[in-house]
Amino acid sequence: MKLPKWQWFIPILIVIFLFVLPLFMHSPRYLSLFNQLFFNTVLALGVYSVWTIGYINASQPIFFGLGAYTVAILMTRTHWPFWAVFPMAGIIPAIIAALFGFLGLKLKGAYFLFLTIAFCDLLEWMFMSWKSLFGGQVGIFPVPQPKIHLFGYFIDFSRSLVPYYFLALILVVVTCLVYFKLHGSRLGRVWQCVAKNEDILANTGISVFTQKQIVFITSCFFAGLAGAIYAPYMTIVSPTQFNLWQGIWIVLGVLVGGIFSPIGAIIGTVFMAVLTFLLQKSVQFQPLILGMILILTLLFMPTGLFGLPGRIINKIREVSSNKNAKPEIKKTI
Amino acid sequence: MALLETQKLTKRFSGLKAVTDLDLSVNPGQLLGLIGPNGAGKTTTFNLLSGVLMPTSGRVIYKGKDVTGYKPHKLARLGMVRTFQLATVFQDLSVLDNMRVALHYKSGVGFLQTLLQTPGMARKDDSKVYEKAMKLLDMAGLKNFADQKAGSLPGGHQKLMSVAIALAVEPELLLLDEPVRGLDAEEIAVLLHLVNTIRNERGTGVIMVEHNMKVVMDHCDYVVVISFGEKIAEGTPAQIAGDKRVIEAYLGSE
Repeated sequence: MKLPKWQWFIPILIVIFLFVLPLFMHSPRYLSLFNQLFFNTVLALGVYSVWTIGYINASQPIFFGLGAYTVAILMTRTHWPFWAVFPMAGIIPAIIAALFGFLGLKLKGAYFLFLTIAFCDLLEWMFMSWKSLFGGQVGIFPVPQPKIHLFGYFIDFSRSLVPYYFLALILVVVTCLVYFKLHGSRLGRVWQCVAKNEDILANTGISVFTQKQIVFITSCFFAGLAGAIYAPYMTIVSPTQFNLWQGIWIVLGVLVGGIFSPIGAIIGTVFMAVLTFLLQKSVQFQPLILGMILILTLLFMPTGLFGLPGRIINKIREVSSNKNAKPEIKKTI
Repeated sequence: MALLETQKLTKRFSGLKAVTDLDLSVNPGQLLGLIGPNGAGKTTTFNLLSGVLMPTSGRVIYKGKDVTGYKPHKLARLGMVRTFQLATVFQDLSVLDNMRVALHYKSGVGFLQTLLQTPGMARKDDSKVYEKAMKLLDMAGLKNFADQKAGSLPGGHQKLMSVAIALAVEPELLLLDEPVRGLDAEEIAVLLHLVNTIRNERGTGVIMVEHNMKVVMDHCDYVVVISFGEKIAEGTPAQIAGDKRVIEAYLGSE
């Protein structure tokens, strides 16, 4: 995304606000809301990124889960420090994404979506059944808390949620910077063209398949990193935490927000998180309301919430220009 | 040495012979016309040459190297680029952005460079690509349309643009699939001027599939006629024009 200069103030202000927020907000209820929001934002940006090359990826939570399992397994078995394990949680999902992409990215459109759905079920089953590695139904518990010595300070993750808040927030900021830079560049344009016409693109010397792989692997890398923070944050990693439905809900959130822009993806994720949070007390209505919103979005807001103001402005202009035109029509009649 | 040579190139689609034992040869700077009635296998031949289809048998030799079955992007990197009959440009992008995308590979800036370069480096790279893009658009006579959506241009302009996109890779061999179809006289002149310029200046060889006989007869150095996938005649335009088999293929025998 290329923003005009003054518009950079908005994201910078939001980030500053988020960094000072924990000073005033101590309630674990709100902190966990924000943490969940940060994880989902990373996943949603991955969904957006893969969408630009013409695919819907419902398997983001599974790569998120792979990252979480990587951290859980390595930290319980090897006693490596968190900082050594953290990058592994990105790299291992990235390798698995490369293998998956090698087979899957040759498929077109909807077939890829079905493959990600199958992949979700397959990995969920693997987490369940491979008991010696993934701990089966129970999962891995407890996941050791990271201990970080930074500039002479000792940050204790076991006492409060605040360190996790900051860790997740930093990851979100880095992810945003990476995605915004990539998608705002000429390479981002090339990715958009992958979805439009592979033949012309290949004729300019670009290996379309490699570009698809790069986009898919990047999205899974960041999903894995988010999972790395999630595992010690939850202290438990089990198969029920990562499944297809979450993947679908993240895709739906991105659709509601506006899948044509990374900002839309973020707005959609925030919207869904806030809505789920507000509906916490009436869980039974949650699917009903979310489903209605989704139907309304798909029917009436193809550009999502983010594209809505622009569409409304256009509509108003159209209507007002029609009003101006009306007297002239009368005259001719 | 010939720039491109095919040896007994054959393609069958489940029994149907689309192209049979086709031998072609193009020299640098040469404009080869590939003509034939509808369904003769011209586009199939192009798909075989550009790596979209895999030949059933036979070989494609480019600059002395066997490139049979190479993927299109690999061939493009080696300097063999084609244009398409339909869907020739990225419709939703501006004309300039089309050129930017086309120039991306040649700019040499990959994933990591894009991610790690400073804004200053990005600007420098962008302005370099911008200059190249404008130069190509100027050559194609589309400089004034740079900011317009490619899909909003008239069909003829889009065709010219597709050639400009192909030229972005600095090809040594250009395959043009019906380049003047749907163009008016003025656009045809621009396109032929463009093709002749790159032939003369860079020594680019060109193969052209074309139904417009006037263009073929006036501009091609050499013409190959195929019918039902087989080569039935070849020679200079003058030789072809008088060939009995060619007239038969187009008009039917008595």
